[in-house]
Amino acid sequence: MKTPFWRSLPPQGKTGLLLLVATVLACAVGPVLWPASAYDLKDGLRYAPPGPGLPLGGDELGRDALARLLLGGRYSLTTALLGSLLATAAGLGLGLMAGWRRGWADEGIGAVVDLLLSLPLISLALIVAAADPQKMGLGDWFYSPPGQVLRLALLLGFLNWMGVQRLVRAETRRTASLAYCEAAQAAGAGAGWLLWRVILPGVWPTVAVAFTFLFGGALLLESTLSYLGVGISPPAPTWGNLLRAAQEYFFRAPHLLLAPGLMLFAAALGANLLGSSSRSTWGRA
Amino acid sequence: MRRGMRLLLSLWLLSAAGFFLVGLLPFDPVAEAMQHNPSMKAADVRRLRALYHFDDPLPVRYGHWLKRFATGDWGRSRVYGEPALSLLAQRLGNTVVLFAGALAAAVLLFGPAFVVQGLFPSSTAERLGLSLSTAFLCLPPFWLGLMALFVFSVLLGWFPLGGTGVLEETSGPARLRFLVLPALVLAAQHVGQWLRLEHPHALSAPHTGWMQAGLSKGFSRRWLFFHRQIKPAMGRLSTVWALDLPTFLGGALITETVFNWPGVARLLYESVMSKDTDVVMACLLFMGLITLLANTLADAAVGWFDPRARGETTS
Repeated sequence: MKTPFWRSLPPQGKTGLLLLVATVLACAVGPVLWPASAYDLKDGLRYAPPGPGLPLGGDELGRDALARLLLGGRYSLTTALLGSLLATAAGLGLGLMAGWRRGWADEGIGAVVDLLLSLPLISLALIVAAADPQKMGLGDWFYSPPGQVLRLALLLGFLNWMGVQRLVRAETRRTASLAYCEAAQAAGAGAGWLLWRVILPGVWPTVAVAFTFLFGGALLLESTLSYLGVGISPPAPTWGNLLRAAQEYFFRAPHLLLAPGLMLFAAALGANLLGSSSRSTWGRA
Repeated sequence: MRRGMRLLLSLWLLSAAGFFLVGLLPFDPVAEAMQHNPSMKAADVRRLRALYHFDDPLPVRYGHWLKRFATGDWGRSRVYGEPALSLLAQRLGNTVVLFAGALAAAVLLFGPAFVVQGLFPSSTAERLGLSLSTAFLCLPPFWLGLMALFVFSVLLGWFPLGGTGVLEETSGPARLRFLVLPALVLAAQHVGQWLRLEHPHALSAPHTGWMQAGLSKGFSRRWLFFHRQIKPAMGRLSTVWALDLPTFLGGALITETVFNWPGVARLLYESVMSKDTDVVMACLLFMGLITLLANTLADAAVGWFDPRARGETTS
């Protein structure tokens, strides 16, 4: 008998899920409900402290800080979601391959994973993020905000797949050695069927938990790169580059410092709580 | 021996990847020279490009660079006009000081928390520590630094607003004030992670066979903790610590930037932003070398703390 997912979650996990849903919903629906523009400059609003009709104040150019916060969430969350999906997909594919085929495929992938995990990846990421799309042979589209989101998501995916690969590989090997898998094999099941119907269901919970953690981590990494000025560049807002701007107006407009950080914290905490409690309900991971 | 070979191979791959990526930075030295000197002729441009091998294929250019690099010529900073290596050496001291501070902060934070966790698992204090750890792990690291600056430097005025202090004006203890916040911020998240990792072990320790046996023999819980529980925990954590070193360096990148701390990681960041290519390579390889050495050390440390792992890691 299956208990519904929500019921099986411990209170911590429920808090996490609610936090996550709340932040995502705020950013998805918020810009529609809150009519102020995230780009319109109004001179009177420069450095304006929070007040009636202006819940988070105005930024350094007189834009509505709440509108920018909500729109920024769309960029930040989309990038993190895309990046962690890419990392999970790559880790899942390579993990299944390494765990199932063993032999040289396993050893080769393992060597690459070891190598990548031993390199100072943040430093490399900084250089990659600062690289010129044109020199990589990419078109002008990669300078536009959606293009930057995709570029950053690809980078996040590349930086994070190794952990998933290790988990999936271990889980694949474990499942493949179980009696019911051997039984299916003895009954004449093909490799494709086995992977899809036997191995994958065994690996799935691990992957889901890893994905949840990755999402939180990717969100923080994206915001860090944007904070360092190599992520998504203004005027498109993200929580990271909002904080970069806020730091420059530390004394004149300290109110700009709080909200983006709290949103990042809420989303990352949500993902983390959800991940660690579903890990305990789903067993190993 | 094999470890040494692997280290060299990794370092070589890092240098190749780094060289390739640095070439992708949005920067063309000859175009910049032309901007500064509009009277340059097309022939000069061609001569310059040939002189610096800009038109050669990338592997050839990498070969040239590698030859220079191997002979100890790490290039010059085009921003500071100094050799990249001496620039690196100047900044190294600050990073070492920051790391020493972070290490001290980590020991001060982790030590007591770890003892509380081990002796009183699932007590209120332990749960509070665990919740704080989770919270710290979910904070954007740079925001933690910014908020620390805002609260402790701007509002309370306890600490200076970043920097390392002016050399001539402030003496040793006064300069220590500059170190407190960055060191704490750099250490906090790692300490949180260690505590979270050890939490399940601390919870299960009272139910293990060796603990029950020890207690029934009359050893106190405290004696068992200090003599039987700590060493395996250190073994587990030593792998984490070694793998943490790259993240520490990554954290230093953020901490040094937020706190305006002129160390190696900040030098890397500055040189990436100003397209100071030779300095980028020098910093990258230096940080890579430290990371790889740490990983090699970790392999050895695990075996020292946990004899069971000795057979597995001697590959």
